[in-house]
Amino acid sequence: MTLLEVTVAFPIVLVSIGMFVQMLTGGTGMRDASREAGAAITAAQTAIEEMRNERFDQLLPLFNADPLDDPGGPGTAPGHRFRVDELVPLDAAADGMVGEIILPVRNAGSEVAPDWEIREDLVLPELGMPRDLNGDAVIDDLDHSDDVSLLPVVVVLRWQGRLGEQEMRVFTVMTELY
Amino acid sequence: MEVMLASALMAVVTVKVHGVMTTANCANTEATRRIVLEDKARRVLQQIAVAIMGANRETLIPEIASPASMSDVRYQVNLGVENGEVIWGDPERIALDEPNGAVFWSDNVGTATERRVTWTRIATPFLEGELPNGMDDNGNGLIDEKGLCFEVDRNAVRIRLTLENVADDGQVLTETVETTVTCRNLTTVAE
Repeated sequence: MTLLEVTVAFPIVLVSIGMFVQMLTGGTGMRDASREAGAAITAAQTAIEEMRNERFDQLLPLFNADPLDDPGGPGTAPGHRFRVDELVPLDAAADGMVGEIILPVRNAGSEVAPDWEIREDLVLPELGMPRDLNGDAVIDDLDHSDDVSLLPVVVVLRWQGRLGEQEMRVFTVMTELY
Repeated sequence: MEVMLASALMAVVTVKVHGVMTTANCANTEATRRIVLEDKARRVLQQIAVAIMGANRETLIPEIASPASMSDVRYQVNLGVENGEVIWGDPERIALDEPNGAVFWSDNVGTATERRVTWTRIATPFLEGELPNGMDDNGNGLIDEKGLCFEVDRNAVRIRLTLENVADDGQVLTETVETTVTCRNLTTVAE
């Protein structure tokens, strides 16, 4: 064995180590991504189940973006954003929240005096909208807050994952169970 | 001289490479163990969640609100409707067998025909971070909750589960998972 041979062998060994480390890092990244996805699914499922635990006619005030119409007083409802401890929020999420609940609502009032309406004519493909929400087989441009019987909901989770920014959407339809 | 120098260099490199490989392998093994444990915890949690989801809320016992919790629930599920009457299944039970760390499901509870399925044998006696001291040590609002615990809030049940795995080298891995499910069957049980 000469110094020349060792000099030639070094780069080969270094490349091999590099490949080995890359393989390990890649595997760890995949595992972390899988773990994050599992946590996100559980969080979305939990959010949906917590909505199912509320009275159907209270879903809008409890889970919309307006803290002023909360049934128990301003700021007492869960609202449309929620935290997931296992996931890191995006830098863009100023409130540090990961989850968001999207309902087929429109603010017919102003920012200072909001008036939230459940509308059938909203164009929201992610919610399957527009669609009939009160069972009269007609899609109109009225407020159906008082007679809605089907409420499409999308739970969106956005987080800073090991492999970059991640997003997961879970769609469901709420209806009165009893 | 050259051979000695080359051999020394190779020896140093070999030792370093071996060190890197060993460290990487240990880290990889631990990460894999953790993932396997987390997968198992989520799988058991999902089994419990699906069972509770199909339960009739009014048959769910015992009914305890926080800060107390329970590690043993009994319930019945709706099997269908016959002649306008809801047919209810035999009472089922999900519980933590503390001495054995077992989480099990059983039906026909307390009868000769009782069937029991163990979903895991590595549940901890108490939830992660909790001690049996009459206080809420882990800050989840519950006092002295067990490794499997149920917290009832109206029609919803929050389920928490801690699993613990001791590796051959003595390393202890702990994983806690939780979810909330709402009972779908709200029909009143006929007396």
